[in-house]
Amino acid sequence: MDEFDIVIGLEVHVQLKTKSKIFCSCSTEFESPPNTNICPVCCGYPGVLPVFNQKALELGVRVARGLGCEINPQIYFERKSYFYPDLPKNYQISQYKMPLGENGWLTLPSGKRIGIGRVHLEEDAGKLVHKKDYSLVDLNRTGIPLLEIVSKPDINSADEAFDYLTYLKLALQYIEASDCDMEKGILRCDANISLKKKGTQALGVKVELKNMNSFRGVRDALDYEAKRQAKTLEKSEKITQETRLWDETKRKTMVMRSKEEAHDYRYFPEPDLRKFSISLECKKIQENFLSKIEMPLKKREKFTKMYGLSAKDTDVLISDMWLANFFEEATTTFSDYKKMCGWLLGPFLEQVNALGASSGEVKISPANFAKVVKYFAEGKLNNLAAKKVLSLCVSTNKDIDRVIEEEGLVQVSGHQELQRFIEEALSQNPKPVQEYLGGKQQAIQFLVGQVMRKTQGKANPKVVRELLEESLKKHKGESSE
Amino acid sequence: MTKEDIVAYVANLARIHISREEKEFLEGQLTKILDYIGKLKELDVEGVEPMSGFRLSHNITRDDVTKQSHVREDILRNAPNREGDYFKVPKVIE
Repeated sequence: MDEFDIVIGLEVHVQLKTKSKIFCSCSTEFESPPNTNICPVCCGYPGVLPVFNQKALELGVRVARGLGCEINPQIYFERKSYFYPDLPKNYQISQYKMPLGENGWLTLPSGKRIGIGRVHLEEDAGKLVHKKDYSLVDLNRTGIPLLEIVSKPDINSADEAFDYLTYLKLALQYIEASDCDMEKGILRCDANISLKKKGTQALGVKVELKNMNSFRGVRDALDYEAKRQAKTLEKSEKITQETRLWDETKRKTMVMRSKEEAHDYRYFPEPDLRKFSISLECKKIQENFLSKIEMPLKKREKFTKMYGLSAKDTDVLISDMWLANFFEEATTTFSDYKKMCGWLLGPFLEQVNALGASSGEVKISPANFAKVVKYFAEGKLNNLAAKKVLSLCVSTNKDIDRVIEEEGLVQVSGHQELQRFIEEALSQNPKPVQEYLGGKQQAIQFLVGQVMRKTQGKANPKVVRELLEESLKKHKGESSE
Repeated sequence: MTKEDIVAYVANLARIHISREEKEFLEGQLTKILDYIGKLKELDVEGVEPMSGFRLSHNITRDDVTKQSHVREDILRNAPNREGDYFKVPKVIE
């Protein structure tokens, strides 16, 4: 393995976030029952004409510019002919000679730039369900705008491929071009991988990998394939140029039953659509949009350097633009960043998940969230009470102070007040007191619990414990006298 | 590729089966068509960019608005075979 360099190129398809399909007005809704969003255009009826969706063009330009691509001032579509029941026209309207964008890049956290060869627009194909003796076709997906993003073969390890996918996905989500949900097939990825002897220029024979259903799947498939190719080459055998499918359960790649003939797509310009110009104005609008967005990598740097958060916490925060922005807004009112991050990723997300809510349904404002954390930090609320306030406010954004008052959650911290409960607890529970004095340290835990109960959970357990220890020391002194 | 090969090749790409008689018949037709189109080859197009559609002064696009076709059931009914709301086709595994 050590004598080879790994060369990987990724081909990513993402559905653009439009309401309607790329060439007709059918909905792009994911949840619809089979064959709901179909019409004569996307079903390839004779005599129909495609009309290009303006929004698909705009989002395409946004992504291409976001990835630093040069935009071709004029683009046109071509027909890619193939016969398969997922595409009733028997051709896919795609781009070939004149793609939307070329020569961009994506920067990874390591600082390495992965080149983007091209970005082009096309229509998605339908979904097939394979049964034992026949197949079923659902054309809801047929015609959903798809962007193909092809990286240059600049990726040199499975981990780097994973990073590339992670940051490409984040970038596309941040610029609101695609939801990138791989489980729903909104983002799909194929990979090309070959090995070459270290220090040589000539590329090896490449193998195409398909059927990976997650980023982890892509990484595992590439890892497996790199090792397989290295073993083959070490035995002085040749690599066959072929397409292999990743088998998630068997955890290996297998040759796809090869077709008798190589694909011949017979590309030619789509006569039903005119050429399109991408005006300077169109580009400028998208560039303006992009300039207002802080991209994931930039956020990552800021979170670790400026806020001093750990890389692990940062990665969780930036994995959701909403969460990252929420955090940043919260920091404007309370500046214990680490505590805030802890509460956001811990109790806050717990509450959100418990509600089964998506981040969009969360009503609490960042300022109100910050207030809860601040009250906790100041000792006004104990841990339990702060969590309770959160649970009451996450989906309502009620006034924090009012909730605290209504629920009577202010922490009992006056030592005198607490001392009264402690004395009570000590006199009512002689047995644990004896045990503790006799050297059984854990017995104090029971007493802490008793005091907490008396304060209805409104005390700080740490303070209670300290006061208890003091009181017990006194008891010990008294009893030994 | 010979004419004979081209017919077989295109038939295979189009996933259609043709008999020997049909093949001979189509070869004849294809020869005629290719010869006719072949006349274009006599033109001198040195230095002329291939044309790939017109360009107007403005793009023709539509707004991103959904519309129901209301012909879903008609389309499903037109299919040779269906199962529930799916189109049913012979087994295809590539």
